[in-house]
Amino acid sequence: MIRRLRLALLLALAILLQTAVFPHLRIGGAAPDVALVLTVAVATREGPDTGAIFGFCAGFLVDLYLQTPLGLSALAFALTGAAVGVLQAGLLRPGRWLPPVLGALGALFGNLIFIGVGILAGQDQLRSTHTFQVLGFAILYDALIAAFVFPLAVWATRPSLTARTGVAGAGWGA
Amino acid sequence: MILLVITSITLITLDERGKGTGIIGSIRSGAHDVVAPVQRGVHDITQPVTDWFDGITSRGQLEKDNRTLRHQVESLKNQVRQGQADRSENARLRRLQGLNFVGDVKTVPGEVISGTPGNFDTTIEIDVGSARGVAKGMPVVSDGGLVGRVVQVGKNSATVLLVSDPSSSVAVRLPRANATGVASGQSGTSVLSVSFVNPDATVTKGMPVFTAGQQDGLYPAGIPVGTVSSVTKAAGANRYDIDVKPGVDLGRLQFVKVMQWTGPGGTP
Repeated sequence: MIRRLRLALLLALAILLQTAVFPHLRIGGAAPDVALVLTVAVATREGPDTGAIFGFCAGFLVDLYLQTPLGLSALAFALTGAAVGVLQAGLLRPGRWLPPVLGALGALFGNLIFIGVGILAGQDQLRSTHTFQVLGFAILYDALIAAFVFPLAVWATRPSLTARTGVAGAGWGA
Repeated sequence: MILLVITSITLITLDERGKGTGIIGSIRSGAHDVVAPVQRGVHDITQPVTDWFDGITSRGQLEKDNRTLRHQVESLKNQVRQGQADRSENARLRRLQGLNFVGDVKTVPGEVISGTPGNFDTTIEIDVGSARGVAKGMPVVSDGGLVGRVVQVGKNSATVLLVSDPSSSVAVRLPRANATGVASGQSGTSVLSVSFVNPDATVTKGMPVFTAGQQDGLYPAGIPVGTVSSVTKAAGANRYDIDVKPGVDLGRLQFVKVMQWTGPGGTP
């Protein structure tokens, strides 16, 4: 319960940062996808199911502030959460390099789904070379902020005091 | 997972079909109202911090043993900068006050508080909403001319789709060439592309471009859009390639006016 509360708090903070702060701090026309990187970090800790659900919620909230169809980011973030969760469960080993690499991979994967499904849904403005230029900067930016977001996800997903007597949480940073 | 995917696709379909109206529109408006005060606060905080940071970084080479005097100089410099900023802001507001192209249409002044949180659309957030009479579809202008139109309204904030967004199209008129066309935004640039101009018309660089105000159009007639920045017509071709530089610096907008224009048919 407390973990869910912490995750909800972190998600609200991510949405506020993404809507009120980072639009002022663009690099190369790109703002970071704070909520997407947070989804990647949570999926790395919690696995594909929680990653997908968290991604869906995060994407849905982000969609409320965009002009693209509602549900587009929700779908992209949910699939990213699931994919990163699967990757974490089967392949990844913890390391200092992991947050930026996963942040970049998550940004690439999530944004490609967003662009692909967006074009299928009639968002023709996404069909341009500029879209991919912005995507390049967004990936770099997301890799950078991952270093700050991942420790917050560790804090939010750590076992509560009563649960610590059992098995400690698996995955990155545990 | 399958449930989430199905839910997402259902939402996308509903939103596309409903064009942002109904319950989805209401949810979006509510979400904007929640964040608008924070955006306003961040805007208010970052403005003086940026000014202060500029003051520190551009201080120059003053002697170390003159610390007190240097502080005084710095303080005066900051006051001068603040005065210059105030004068410039004052001038912008006065220019905005005297817009002659809005005619008899009532306007609501607003301030830009944020940009889009996303990377693939071109919108701005302003600090006025339905509480001040702003409604979806209303044109937004600045002292240089057309800015865009309102696409989302909260109680105290609104989202404006800039005229440079690739999904934006404006019916325009080039009075000196006696021609009309459609100006559309392009990805990655604020320059507009004008199409459907009569190839027999004589279009030259520097010509002013205004909204055409066609029947059922999104904008009233006569709002300055910009000036022709390049015009090409290949030999034998039967169409022009025209670029228009907007009269408004869309990347540095601060004050805008929402025109309470409800369209030729009574609806925006």
